[in-house]
Formats: sequence, structure tokens, C-alpha cells
Amino acid sequence: LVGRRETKMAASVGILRLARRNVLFSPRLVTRSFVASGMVHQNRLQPVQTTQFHTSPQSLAAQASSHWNAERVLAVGLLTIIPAAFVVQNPVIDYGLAAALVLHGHWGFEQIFTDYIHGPLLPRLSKIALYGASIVAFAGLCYFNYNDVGICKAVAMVWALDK
Amino acid sequence: QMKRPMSPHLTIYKPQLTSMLSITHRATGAALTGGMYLFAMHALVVPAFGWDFTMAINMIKGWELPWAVIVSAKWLLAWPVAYHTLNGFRHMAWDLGYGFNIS
Repeated sequence: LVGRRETKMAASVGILRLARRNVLFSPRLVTRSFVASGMVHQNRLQPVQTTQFHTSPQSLAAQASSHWNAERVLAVGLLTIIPAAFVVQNPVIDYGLAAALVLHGHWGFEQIFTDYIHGPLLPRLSKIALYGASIVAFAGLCYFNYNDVGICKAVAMVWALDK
Repeated sequence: QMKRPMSPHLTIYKPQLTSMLSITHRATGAALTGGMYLFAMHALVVPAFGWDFTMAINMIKGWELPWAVIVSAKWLLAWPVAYHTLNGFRHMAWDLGYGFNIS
């Protein structure tokens, strides 16, 4: 465990390096606990105290990297399951579509929120609301698949409206 | 949150093919997700009022809308899906590393 004074020294050294080299994670920062800083433009980059937490080295970057990969894998998955829905229609496709579409939309909206919503509180609130909405949406699609005609049939019915 | 004045950005930057294609990709994705979420939430609520999807479709058929209206509506639903998918291919190419050289 590292004491507060060493932590603050490490954080300030790391942040000075950040300001000069514009590198997101300097080695100093990730090898010990650090203050998660929001860098705020007030004439110069200043660290803003948000939270303090401990993380193992490389952990955050590795998580972000795997998330990025997972997003691309899901996109490719969507590119297979949607054409498959044109060929065969069955509950497997219905539930697969429900899961893949909601997850793809959820992750997409997360990126939108990350890009446009800033501050100490609003991003957290919006992410919580998004989680709620996504869970309800997935539940709704599963309910629709189970108790009603299902996604594939529904699309087919809508598309047959002009006959 | 910030009290200081900011330089203009969105108001002065000329719309270009790159940025317009990109923001449309995001807008279609957001709209499709929003619409899908609304439909899904709807699906949880309307059964309490005795409705199901087949009844809704039959109701729309009962309106006997002109063919042009129905085709336009289908186009409005299909275009964002098509655009987002095709632009998604572009993103995939970039993610794989293609398309950054000027030639």
C-alpha cells in the first residue's frame, strides 16, 4: 500500500509529464494508485479531484482495449445474423437479433454520451439511465419474441403491408 | 459549467463530406436505437390493453393507405439501416487499417 503523500507526489509528477508530453498514461501513473484526474482547461491543464482508486498496472487500458475489440466483434456478428434472418426465420435468430441489436445500440450510445456529456455528475446519471433503458428494451424484445410474432415475422408483416 | 467565453466551432466549421458522413452515421445509429428501444418498451405495455402486433398490422391495413405512403414509410425505415450498415463497412475498413493512404 502506498501512502497519500507518495500518491500525491506520483500523481503530480505524472500530471506534469502529461502536460508536457500529452501522453495519456505515463508509466509512473499506472504502476501505483493514482488520483483519477479530469483535466480541465482553466488557462492551463489542472488536475481536478474526482475519485481515488487503486488499479493493477495496465488494467484500465487493457479493459478499454478489449471493449473496443468486443465492439468490432459484435458488429461483425450483426453483419452475419442480419443476412441470416433473410434466409431462415426462427426463434434463435429472433433472440440473437434482440441481444445483438440492443448491445450494439447500448455500446453506441455509450460512445455518444462519452463524447458529448461532460462533468462530474451528468455522465454517471446518463450511463445509469442508459443501462436501465437497455435492460428494459432487451426485456421488451424478448417478451415480444416469446409472446408475440417475433422480430423476423414482424419485419415480414410490416414489409408485406403494401400488397 | 465553464464561465469563460469559447471560440466558435460548430458555427464556423464548413460542413464537409467526411464530417457529414460521420455525423449521419451517428445520427442514424442513435435514431435506430431510439426507435427500437421505444418499440421494445411499447411491446411491454400494450398487451395490458389487449393489443398484439397482428392487431396493429390489421389496423394499419384497415386504413387502406395509398401505396405511395406505404412505400415512403418503408423507405424511411430502411434508409437509416442501409446507410448505417454501408457506412459501417467504411468504419470496419478503417479499423482494419485500410484507407489512410492518399493515392
